Amino acid sequence: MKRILATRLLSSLLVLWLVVTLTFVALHVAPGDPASTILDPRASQDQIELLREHYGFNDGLLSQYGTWISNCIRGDLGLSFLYQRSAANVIGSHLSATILLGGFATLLGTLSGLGLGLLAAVKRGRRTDLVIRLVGLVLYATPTFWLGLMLALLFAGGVWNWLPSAGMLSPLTAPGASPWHPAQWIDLLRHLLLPGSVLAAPLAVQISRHVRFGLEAQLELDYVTAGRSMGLSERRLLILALRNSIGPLVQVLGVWMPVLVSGAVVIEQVFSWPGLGAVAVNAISGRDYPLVLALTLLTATCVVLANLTADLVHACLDPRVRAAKEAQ
Amino acid sequence: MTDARSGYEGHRAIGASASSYVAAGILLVWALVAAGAPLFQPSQQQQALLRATDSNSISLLAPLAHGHLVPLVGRTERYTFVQSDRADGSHKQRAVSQHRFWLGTDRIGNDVAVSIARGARTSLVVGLFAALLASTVGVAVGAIAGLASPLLDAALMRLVDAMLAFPLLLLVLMLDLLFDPGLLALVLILSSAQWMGVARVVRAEMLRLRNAPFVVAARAVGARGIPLFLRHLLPNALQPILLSSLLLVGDSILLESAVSFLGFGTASELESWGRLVDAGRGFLTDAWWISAFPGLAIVMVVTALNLLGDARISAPLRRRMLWTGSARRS
Repeated sequence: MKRILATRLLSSLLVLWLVVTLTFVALHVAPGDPASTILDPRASQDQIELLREHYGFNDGLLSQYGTWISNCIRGDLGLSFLYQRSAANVIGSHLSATILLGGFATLLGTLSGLGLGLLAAVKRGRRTDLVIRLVGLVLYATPTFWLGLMLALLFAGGVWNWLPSAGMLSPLTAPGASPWHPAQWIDLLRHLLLPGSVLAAPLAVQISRHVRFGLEAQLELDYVTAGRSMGLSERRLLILALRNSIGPLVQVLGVWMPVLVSGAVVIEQVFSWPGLGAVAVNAISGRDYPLVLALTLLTATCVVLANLTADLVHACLDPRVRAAKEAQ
Repeated sequence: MTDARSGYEGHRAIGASASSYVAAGILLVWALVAAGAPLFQPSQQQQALLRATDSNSISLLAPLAHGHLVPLVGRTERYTFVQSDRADGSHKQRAVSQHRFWLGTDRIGNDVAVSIARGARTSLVVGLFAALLASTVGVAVGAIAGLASPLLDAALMRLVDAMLAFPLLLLVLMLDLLFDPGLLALVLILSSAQWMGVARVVRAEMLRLRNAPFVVAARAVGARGIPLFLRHLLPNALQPILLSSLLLVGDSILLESAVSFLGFGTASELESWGRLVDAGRGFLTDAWWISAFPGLAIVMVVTALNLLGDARISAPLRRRMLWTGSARRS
């Protein structure tokens, strides 16, 4: 187990290095000059030259890369051109909103996926099952941004005016009120509901499908028949089968991280959520190298950690997997 | 079903079932719409509508709603285009034609239905070719990783891991900076962001088949290298490859629409479904149809594509594809 962990950690570090290096190369090979996005368009050639000198754009690519890597290892992610603050600071001030949204979506998606998957498995072959599968198939083919717009149209103004369609907190309740007041929580929850459920939809679909098909496969196995003949209740059998089919679910959650980030980028634009998605889009289109690098480093770390955790949890849950990994 | 024999079923990858026929029918209709899009050039009615604001000779009997320069025309009313005869000074009006915009018009008077037909060209072509190119690259990389030396395998797989560690959309937006705008650039960007799933599938299949008896036999009679791969290995791995490529078409259409929606460089000049949805964003409560119908087109096409793939994904194969990480979405 320790050996697996050590090799996995090592290869994760290698992957992180590759991610950062690929990003660095892509950003610097791309045409366009950050100096022109930082400065006023009327800036003279001398001013541009001065700025290029100041930020080190005139150094060789390799030396810029060396500087960035060595600073990064010391924990300095550089200065964002666009925000004129340290990249870490920019990320820090937007991170909590994105984590809140992502956490809410993950929780909602997992719970509703589990529930719907169980329901479909219990009613397999009947109308409920068919409806759940069909809705899942259509939801899986729905662009998140469009789903967001349509839900906003339905619930936030167009048809019914039940929920807010933009931002994280209502401007009127924000100042003055204590942040721990229940009204604040309800307000936050109301803002979370639309973007959160749009973001949760693909996860719920994936999880419900895995639960449904996994359970179906398990329920046909001999041990279930044996259990039934021994007089175990259907509920008990379902719990047994669920435990044996839950392994792949952990894997789904492992590959969920990059999907979540991509979805958040779009959804935060649609619902004006003050998170990292908008920052990422601005940073890339503004060629804000330090901020883009910091963002990719952050997201890649999350992805790698999620995969690593999923593998470990899967190995802990399922002794067969553990044995297979140790044999490798 | 196909569960028991799904391992070696390359040649019958896409077969018959009711839902497959429905899905194929939907796709065929959309392909025809895309191919016939040039026939739906803006009609005389729309040109009349466009000129309505600056010409006295042609006017439109429709309420100038919502204070836009040109009316957002609703969907179900019948509009009569009239011409007033100025020659004799009598201001007598005669009807030129009648038209009903079933899907409404956008804010500059374009028929949304026509825009969708034209957008279908971009979305379908980009989806198809991006998937094709990504699959080709994926097959090549996967085959090299699965069959060549372990060192090369490890190197290629770390590259795949690294590319997969980028959130797909951020990767695409970043690649977007590298290219000049255009259709070809969009295909290149989408395929270079999506080949990794197929590569993993192919590698896993190669590892599975590498020491299968028929491959050993083929080697024994002297088959080597690319011919061995093309004649013996590839046909037996075809089902999962075709399925992941098929799903990639839908993925690419979704991804393209997201990039277009965000208005990024390469996409911003092309008329596609994502851009149409974006165009209606500001008028959602006034004219929901501008955004709603192009999005519905995306849902229809991608559902049909997934249905086509879904009908043939057996449980073991689904598990295999999940393990190799090809089950991710944007």
